[in-house]
Amino acid sequence: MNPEQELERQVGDVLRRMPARRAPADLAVRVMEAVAARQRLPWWRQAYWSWPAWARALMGGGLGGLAVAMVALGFWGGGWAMEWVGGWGGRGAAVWNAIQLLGQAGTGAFRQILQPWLLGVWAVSLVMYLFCLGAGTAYFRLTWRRI
Amino acid sequence: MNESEQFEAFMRDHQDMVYTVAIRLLGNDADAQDVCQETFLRAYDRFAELIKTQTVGGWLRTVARNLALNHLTRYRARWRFFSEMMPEGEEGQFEADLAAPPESNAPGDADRWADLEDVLRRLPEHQRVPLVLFHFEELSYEEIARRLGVSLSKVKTDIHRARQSLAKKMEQMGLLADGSRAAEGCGGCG
Repeated sequence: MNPEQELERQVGDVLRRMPARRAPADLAVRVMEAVAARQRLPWWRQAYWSWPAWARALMGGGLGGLAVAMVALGFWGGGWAMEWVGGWGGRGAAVWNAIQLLGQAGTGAFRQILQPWLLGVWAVSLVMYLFCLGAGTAYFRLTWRRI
Repeated sequence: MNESEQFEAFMRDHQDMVYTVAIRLLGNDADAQDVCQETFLRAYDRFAELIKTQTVGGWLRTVARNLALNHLTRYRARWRFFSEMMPEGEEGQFEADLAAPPESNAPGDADRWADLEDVLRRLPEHQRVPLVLFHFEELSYEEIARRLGVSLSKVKTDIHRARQSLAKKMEQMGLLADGSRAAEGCGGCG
């Protein structure tokens, strides 16, 4: 047994003999109060596992169905869905236009970000941030050591 | 006995174990109580299933350990960035800070264990947490490194230093035979 293993064994033996800590006397009261407070909440504000079985089944089935429907729509109904949204009268078309505009704005902003001068500004900002972080760390360590 | 009374009895059976896991990892009574409360609230949500299993103690222990580790990660990540860069010499301050244990205590009495708990609590967090995970929670070095998101060599070094600090105090307390402490260096680390 090497010295490190010997140290591990000796310290481990003593630690294993340590008795469990006694929990504070009011811990049980505190937990039971929290349980009672939770029980007073309506079921839909409690943890999912506390919901009535029918609600869990409904939620599980609904979410599963929604996921399946979205995946199926993506695979087989993409073109049909766009036509449906586009031909959905004035309101649907307006929503579709707004989405397209947002997409175009995002693309434009991304192109702006790639401008060399803007990248330079970002690089300078990053260097200044790192400098401040380094200076703060150095100050913290020096002050702490002095204390 | 209704469900609430049953749960209260269940909690009184296990609260010392859960509290011990939490306080040894967190080193702070208020945080440990928060973790205990959250652990038992989760147990309450699954009480009907848990009460039927033989491994309920293990389940509680695992939940308490995970919650305590999450708590450490969530609330201490920022200052750990600074504190774990402490120069080596500052760790020695821990030993200087500890008062010499009373000489008169008989070996194994409650005061002596309380003193040792205090020594454990006052270890630097980056040493205490892996030491507790290794010796009390019986995780491997690799598992500890994975859970804490640090390198294997750091885990070994931190545990070794924690053991050395504890061994010195254990010797002073008469819990280890004088001169039996091994491994002054870190031959087994890294």
